[in-house]
Amino acid sequence: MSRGRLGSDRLATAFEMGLREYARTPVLLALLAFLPAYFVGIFVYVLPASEVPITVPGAGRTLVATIEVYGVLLIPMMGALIGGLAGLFVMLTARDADGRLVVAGYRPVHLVIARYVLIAIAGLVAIGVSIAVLAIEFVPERVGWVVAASFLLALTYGMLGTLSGLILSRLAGVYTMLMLPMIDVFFFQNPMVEEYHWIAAYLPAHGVIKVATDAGFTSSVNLDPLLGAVGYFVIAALLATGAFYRSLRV
Amino acid sequence: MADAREAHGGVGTAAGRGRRLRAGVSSHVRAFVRTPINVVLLIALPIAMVEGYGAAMEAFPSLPFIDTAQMVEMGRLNGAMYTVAFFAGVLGLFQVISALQADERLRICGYSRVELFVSRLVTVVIGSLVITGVSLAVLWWSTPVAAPIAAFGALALAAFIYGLIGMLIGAVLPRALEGSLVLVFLVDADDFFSSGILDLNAAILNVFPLHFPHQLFRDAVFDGTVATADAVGGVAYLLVALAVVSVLYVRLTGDGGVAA
Amino acid sequence: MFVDRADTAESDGRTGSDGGTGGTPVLRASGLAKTYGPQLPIPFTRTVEVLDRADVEIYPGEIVGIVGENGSGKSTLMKILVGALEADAGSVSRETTIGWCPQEPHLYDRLTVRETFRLFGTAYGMDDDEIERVRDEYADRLGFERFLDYRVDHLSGGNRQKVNLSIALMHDPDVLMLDEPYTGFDWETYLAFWELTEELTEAGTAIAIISHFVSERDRFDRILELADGTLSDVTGQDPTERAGNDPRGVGANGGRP
Repeated sequence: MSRGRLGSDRLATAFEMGLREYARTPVLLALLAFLPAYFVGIFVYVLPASEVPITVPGAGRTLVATIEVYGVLLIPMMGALIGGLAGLFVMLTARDADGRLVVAGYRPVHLVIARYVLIAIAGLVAIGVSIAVLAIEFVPERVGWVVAASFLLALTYGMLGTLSGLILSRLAGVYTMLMLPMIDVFFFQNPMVEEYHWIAAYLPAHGVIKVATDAGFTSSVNLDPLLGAVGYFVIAALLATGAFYRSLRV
Repeated sequence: MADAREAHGGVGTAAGRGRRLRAGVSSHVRAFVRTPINVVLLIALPIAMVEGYGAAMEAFPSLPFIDTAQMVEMGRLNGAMYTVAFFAGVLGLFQVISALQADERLRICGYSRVELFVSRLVTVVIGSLVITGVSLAVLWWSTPVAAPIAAFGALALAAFIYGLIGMLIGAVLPRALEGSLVLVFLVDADDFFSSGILDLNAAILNVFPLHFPHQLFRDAVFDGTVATADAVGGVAYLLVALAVVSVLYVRLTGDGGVAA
Repeated sequence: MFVDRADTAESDGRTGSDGGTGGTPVLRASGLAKTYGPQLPIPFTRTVEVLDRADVEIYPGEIVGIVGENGSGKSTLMKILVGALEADAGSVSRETTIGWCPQEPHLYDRLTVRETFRLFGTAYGMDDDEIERVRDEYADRLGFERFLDYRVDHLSGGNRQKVNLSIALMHDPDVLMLDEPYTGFDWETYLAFWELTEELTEAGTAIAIISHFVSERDRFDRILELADGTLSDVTGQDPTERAGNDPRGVGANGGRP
């Protein structure tokens, strides 16, 4: 069936077409930039110029400006929100056409990778915009690691978005993405707590926020928690990809 | 034949409008209920949110403006409020989006623009009332509620306001992804600012949809009181939202939109 | 060598083994079963048994019509044959290239027609030159050259269907599986379609068409009817003789009184 067309060709075309599909909706692109800007902006505007004690991994209880700790939480949270909704919609909107493309000769892996790259790009844009707006008030100490950790969270929530859309429904997926990132990042993982609730360790942002907090306020970052975070991502990715494959043929 | 139709309520008669409204609402509700996951959500969401937020706030150290004992209850209260508001918001959004596909056909068969809007609105109201009841029940299970009726009213107010906001977003941005993005970002900011873990008092926060309902709900649950100012503010907010949504919906969904 | 279609109306229906183009089927399926519904006995839900030990064989160069009542499972059968759906039981052997034109145009709404051809052409493994050539050819034959740079969701229903069909044909497959392919076609395109199919079958392509409009029975070499989950050959049966007849030629009771 394949007449000499390389897998990389198919992958590139799939990615290109995915990009064209989404780049054609200017409203969506505008929202991708505007919504994180709005969210971070309003936090910068509203948060009082006070200080709060937080637990910085490796440095113990430290007093920091409120906007700084929430800044460090906001970056991954924006990644998670955009990534989650992208995962829910980008993967699942064109399933009939996907099924047909697979019958025509695409291997599902081409579609999957091309789409995951789209999700990753969306996450990066959100993270980039957030950092830019936050920079009005605060630039994290080791910005690079904050970005890296946030990116990982965006991808993880992307997988969870896809999974919830496939296993539950699109409606349930929207509710999940609406509730989960917020309560995960801003509540359960909030470094204002002295001791984590036991649930916190089982949520996606646990390792990521530890590293982000560390990177936000100290110059030497302990990357061990990322291991758990990567593991979480890998499991979520396997489940989501498996469910997607199955959905192409059931 | 035409006479019989008139007797049953032709286009423009009150009887006809009533029948069409009933038919519209019951079909939307049926469509919702026939997706099993939606019904599961109706029960599971409140439980997950009330208990989830309760647990989430439990770990917070005692803050100067709210004591530790109240933290868990505050969390549960927040969970109940967010459940109803966001359920209604998403419901409103998706009702409008699905209306785009289905209602144009109904319009040609005789439904008017206004009838279509009202039937969707009533569906959102019904969904809001159900989720409010379930959420209050879940909250009451673990937390004493001082003034249940006022509490129900405050929760329902939050649901109605967000239901309207969802419908508004759907009318302006009738695509699922774009609409969901806007709703999620709006909702999460509102969620956090009204949660009470930070002592905030910027004036702009009064404009966020949950501001008044949250105050009313808190007072009703913990103190059993109703502050008139908040009640008036909340209802005014609702009426303004209703007016804006009605006008915009009916105008934006003209030719090529939902209903003419 | 090439069977004259006019003869088949009188004959009892080709069994295929006397087909002029050879006796080995290009597509063969046996024992297909498919049931829709939850796998577990959840109360208040319904299971729908669509296929029950259905067998089918398709031979090179023939045009097979697949008919049946609404809801009889024709589209499901076709999806299983092309590999878009897994059967609960049974096997399909397809060692050839297949072109599938589904009933709904499963295309990407926001891509242009040109981009759609490129995407599916890449899927089929065709070179860019080949893709362009074939695209222009079908655009000309079926009459949508004006719309090559239109987005799929901006096309009229009929034009979308033309693109849908072209995508199925473009890689010159050995077997074509078409589900209601001429929905929305204007009369000229409809005629162009049958010209096309004749050329294709002359070249040895096998074509299976799901259709309600089997009134032009001479166009088909065989007609299979899907009823109660299985296929039966109803070629040559006069539809007016069957009980509860549908003037379009679709039997109501599968040939039973």
